[in-house]
Amino acid sequence: MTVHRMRRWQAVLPLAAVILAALFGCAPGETETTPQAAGEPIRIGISLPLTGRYEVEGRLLREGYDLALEMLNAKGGVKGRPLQLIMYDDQSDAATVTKLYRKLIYEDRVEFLLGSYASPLTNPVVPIVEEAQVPFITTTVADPGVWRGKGLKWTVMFNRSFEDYLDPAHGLVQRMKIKSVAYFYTGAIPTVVENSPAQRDKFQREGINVLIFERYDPATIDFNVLASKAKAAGAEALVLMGAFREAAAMAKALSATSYKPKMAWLGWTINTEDFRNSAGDLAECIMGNAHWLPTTRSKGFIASNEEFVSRFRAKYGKDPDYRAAIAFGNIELLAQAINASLEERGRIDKTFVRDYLFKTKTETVFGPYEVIPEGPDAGIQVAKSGYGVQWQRDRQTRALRLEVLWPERDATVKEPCSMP
Amino acid sequence: MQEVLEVLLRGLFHGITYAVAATGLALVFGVMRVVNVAHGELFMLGGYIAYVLWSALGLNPLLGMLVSGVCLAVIGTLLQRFLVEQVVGKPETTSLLLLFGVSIILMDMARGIFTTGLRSIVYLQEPVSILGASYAANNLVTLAVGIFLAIALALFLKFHPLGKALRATAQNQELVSACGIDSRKVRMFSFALAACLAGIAGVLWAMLHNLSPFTGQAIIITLFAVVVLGGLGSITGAFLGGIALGLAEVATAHYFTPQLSLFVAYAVLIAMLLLRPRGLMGAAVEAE
Repeated sequence: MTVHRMRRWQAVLPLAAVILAALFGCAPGETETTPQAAGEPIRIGISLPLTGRYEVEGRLLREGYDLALEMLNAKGGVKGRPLQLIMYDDQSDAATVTKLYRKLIYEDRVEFLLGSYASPLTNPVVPIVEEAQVPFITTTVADPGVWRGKGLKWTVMFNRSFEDYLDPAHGLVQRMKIKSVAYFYTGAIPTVVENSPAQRDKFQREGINVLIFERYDPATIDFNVLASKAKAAGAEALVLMGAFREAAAMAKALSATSYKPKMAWLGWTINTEDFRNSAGDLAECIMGNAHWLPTTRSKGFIASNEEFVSRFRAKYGKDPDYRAAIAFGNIELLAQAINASLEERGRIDKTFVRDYLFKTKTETVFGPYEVIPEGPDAGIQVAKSGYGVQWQRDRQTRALRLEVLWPERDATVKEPCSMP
Repeated sequence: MQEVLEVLLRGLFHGITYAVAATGLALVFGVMRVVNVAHGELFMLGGYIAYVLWSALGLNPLLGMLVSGVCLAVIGTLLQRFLVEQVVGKPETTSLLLLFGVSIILMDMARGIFTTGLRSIVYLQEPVSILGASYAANNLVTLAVGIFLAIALALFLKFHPLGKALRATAQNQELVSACGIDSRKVRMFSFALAACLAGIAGVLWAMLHNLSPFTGQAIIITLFAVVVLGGLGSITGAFLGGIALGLAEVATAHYFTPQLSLFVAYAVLIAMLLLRPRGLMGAAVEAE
């Protein structure tokens, strides 16, 4: 993999590379090509936030990409051709990201593109990619609004849709016979703002009394007030749809206010390292949504999920995050599409790869993949679902473990725990 | 009635950290006429120092707060001696830009060392019941620290020779120099004291909320609003302004909607600048 930064001296690099190549007999950017995959590299472009506000997320994605390339190329790549990532650091900056994708397309002339982290760093790129007609797999983008009504032809969604994030909560509320909910949602994520009224309506249709439905500013730092309001209203369940900072703050607030709802659903970040670091033992019995788990039974083009997790642990000495699984799955999906193109056309045909990405129903380590194949909403992921999880204390080790409650077929425990 | 009391107490707990941090900001402005835009980063740094001592060495966060205060005082002294002092007497924009640069460097350093992930000191989270409502025990610690610092600072400024010199420097630097008081030392001391207060407030924040390298950036606007509310350069005003803003934010979130909490800070800032630029408590340290 080659990682680039936008620097003034960057212009000198190609010259230096040519000189080095002439001296040592290798082409620029081929330093990690393995002997088993010695054909001409297939060049894939990507920018990641390796520095700046999203650097943690960027690094987690990069770990997944690195491992996927290592494993794939060690097996001979795709029909003997290694995959090579041309990677830039977009510094978590939306303006930089557009410049970098133009560079990837028109200067580096990559054949395929993968997305940067999340909507803020992906949305500005979509029109550029569509105009250039390069197959483009997004990474963590969960906002179907990027595709809805736009009839995109080259961009597909890999992550699950944000609109499904609360499905496990709806399922568990029914199962736990909960009658009332206090629902707080962040005003900082447009998808959350747009989707929350629909979630409220859905709870009401299910016979749940939504006692509080309030939007908060992410800079609102005293979540004790929100917890106290929900407690005073007598809500049996608390739903917070916000980022991990807010989830961690609410976990503290629940403890501080002695509010012990039957269900404390704190969004989609409770299985992240950040949440655990910040909430500590206060994470006990907190519920939330998980996109992917190390125990997910899935298999992709490169590896089974079990193998991915095991190799990841061996390489990095820790469990993979869902973002690493998304990155790994990205490469699996693209490699599978390229493989199909080489098998059926005998060459890499971008249009074939594009059609494959829109029409295939397949699986990666991240889980099932299928998008709406055509029409105004083409490209929206429809097959991937999530899990309802809860931090529960292991009776023997006393350590907190993330247990699966929903869907029942994947459940690792039968009953949710009650907040201590 | 119980509900009102709960809102008042939550507002007090919420505002006390603002009060401690804003006091330092007001002190530097009062004595040096410098708008310390790096104050938020000193606040953030204080939180991280105590966090590291707590998470890596198991040091009690209250002791960590002391260490953090001392470390920040040293950092403040160095910053003032080698950077800020060099631009004393120059146009205000010079110190503003200089300290803006310092804030970026400190934030980037924190990013490099701690990454952008969240950190938090989980300490005394056990709920305590007061008048029928539950609060985390660390709220009481925060209140005690805030009150102690307010009293200590008031006594220091009123009775200690250095405190008197500090007030005098704020009033008239030339006259102070003519009286044989080393105004450079006074400036250095005021910056160190302000950094120390920022550090302590940062530790309180890390116990109550969460820390990230962007914490300083996020809080500085609120602190400016507090200082403007209290009266530019007024230490008493900053302290009371912090508590008032905390109360206003909590009451807004409780009785209206949490969406408006941040709006309150900006609205206060704009309203005070337009209607009463001198703030609630008048002008400068000499008024204390």
